[in-house]
Amino acid sequence: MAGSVLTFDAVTKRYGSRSAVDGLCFGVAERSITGLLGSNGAGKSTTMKLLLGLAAPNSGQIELFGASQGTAAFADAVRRTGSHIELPALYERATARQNVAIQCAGFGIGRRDPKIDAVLETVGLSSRSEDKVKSFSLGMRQRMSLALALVHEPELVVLDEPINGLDPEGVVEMRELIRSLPSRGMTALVSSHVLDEIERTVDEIVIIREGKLIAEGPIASIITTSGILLRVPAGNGDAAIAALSAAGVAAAAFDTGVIHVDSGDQPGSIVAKVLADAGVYPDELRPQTADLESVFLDLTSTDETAS
Amino acid sequence: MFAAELLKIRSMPAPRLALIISLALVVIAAVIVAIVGPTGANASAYYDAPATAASIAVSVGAIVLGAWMIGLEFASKTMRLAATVQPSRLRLLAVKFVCALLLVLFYSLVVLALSLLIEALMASIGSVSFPFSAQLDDSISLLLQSLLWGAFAFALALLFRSYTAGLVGTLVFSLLVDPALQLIPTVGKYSFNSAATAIGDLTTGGSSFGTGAPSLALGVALITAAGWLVVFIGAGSARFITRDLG
Repeated sequence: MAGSVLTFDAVTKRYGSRSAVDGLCFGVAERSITGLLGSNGAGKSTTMKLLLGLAAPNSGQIELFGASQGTAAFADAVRRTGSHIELPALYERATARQNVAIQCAGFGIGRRDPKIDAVLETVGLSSRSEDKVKSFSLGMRQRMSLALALVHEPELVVLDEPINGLDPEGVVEMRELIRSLPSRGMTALVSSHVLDEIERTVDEIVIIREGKLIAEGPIASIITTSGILLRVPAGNGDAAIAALSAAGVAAAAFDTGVIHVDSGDQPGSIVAKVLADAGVYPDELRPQTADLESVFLDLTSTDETAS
Repeated sequence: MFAAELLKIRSMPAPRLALIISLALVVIAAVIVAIVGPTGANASAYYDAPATAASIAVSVGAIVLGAWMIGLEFASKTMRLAATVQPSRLRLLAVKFVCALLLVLFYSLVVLALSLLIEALMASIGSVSFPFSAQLDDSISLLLQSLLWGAFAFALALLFRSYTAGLVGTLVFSLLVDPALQLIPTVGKYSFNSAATAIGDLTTGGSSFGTGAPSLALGVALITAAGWLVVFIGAGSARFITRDLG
């Protein structure tokens, strides 16, 4: 993939006889925000560990910033990433500032560098910077972990379930923060179970199931318009469906007065004319867009799709 | 990477606590002997009591800190973080091992130096002559042994990927396994503690604190101690480098 900071090429990772990642191929474009989606046990965390060099693949090729996994250059490439994998891992008996300073020291950043205060401010922990991490809630730990991932200004940020434990305000802040990363020259790979949040945050999505890729691409191309939603006055439902069927348009009633029209290539105006000709005037007529959740459930629950 | 490890040592309470508790033990021993006085005609107890407290504290403290330097990452589940900051696992281990030795060296030096001062003070309180040279030799012997046991604890914590297992494993080894090995004819003199004691004897000519373990020539002792450490550190390193960091 042109302009990719990360590529997986037929990567397989097995634990015993079980494949956690199975022939996985995908890429992450520079300065994009990519969502990595999958059910529990789909291989998201393993994928993230593989790209960070924390686990080694059984076969296939991983390239990070052009460096192949297993080479010395790959280790240098990993240092250009910032990551938060699974539960926040922090030095409990150190303060928030000390935790960030330790991370900074590993990248040659001094413990009095203004970046430390700046990142604590960014994640909303500046008022608790001198408190020991062991007193922090899960949401605060998530913020701390994000601070550690960002403080050295990495080119690729890898975030596994970053909104776990965050309150609604924190979720919004996290979303805005992630959305701001490309403008700061960073690329982000984010996994989350909260599909609604992913839908609002990412540009591209990669959906995996049982370690295999089942969908990849811009979120707008995956979440496509899937028909027209009609709301008709009570008692007009049958007449509307009959008129549409007579015009060769498939339609189904969901609830009283709500009809889903599989309009194919026909624009909504044609559907409106068919209804008007039948003397049915809908209260509402709008394109129906599949949300990420329904797309995800469709893709991950259908055997044929995966194969 | 050294800066990060040194900052961990400064930021975490464990090294400070080990130092404070060790010094407190030495002071308590001195205070007790000052209040109660030596039993019988054993006037040397004035300085022997704090010296013994220091030797016990340093022996245990070196094991605690050796295991802590690597076990900290396993206990706090931060090894993954450390391994993304320094993705070369061999380099990560090398830095941590050197820092573990530096930590044990610094800790032992401080405790033993202050202990010597307290011992001298106690000797003057008890109006007994203070054999400074002999006590200094014993301290240097203890220092060398503490470094070896600190390295051993580091190796076990690495091998078991656990601070607690490294700490307890080393204590069990030093108190039960090694003495049992020493009971075996011929082979027994090549136990780790025999080698450590013989290396410590380098400065004392055989009069150091010890377990009465069979003495080895210095060269043989160095090879024996290195052999033990290479086996355990090698096994731990091989496991650390080749396995995934879950």
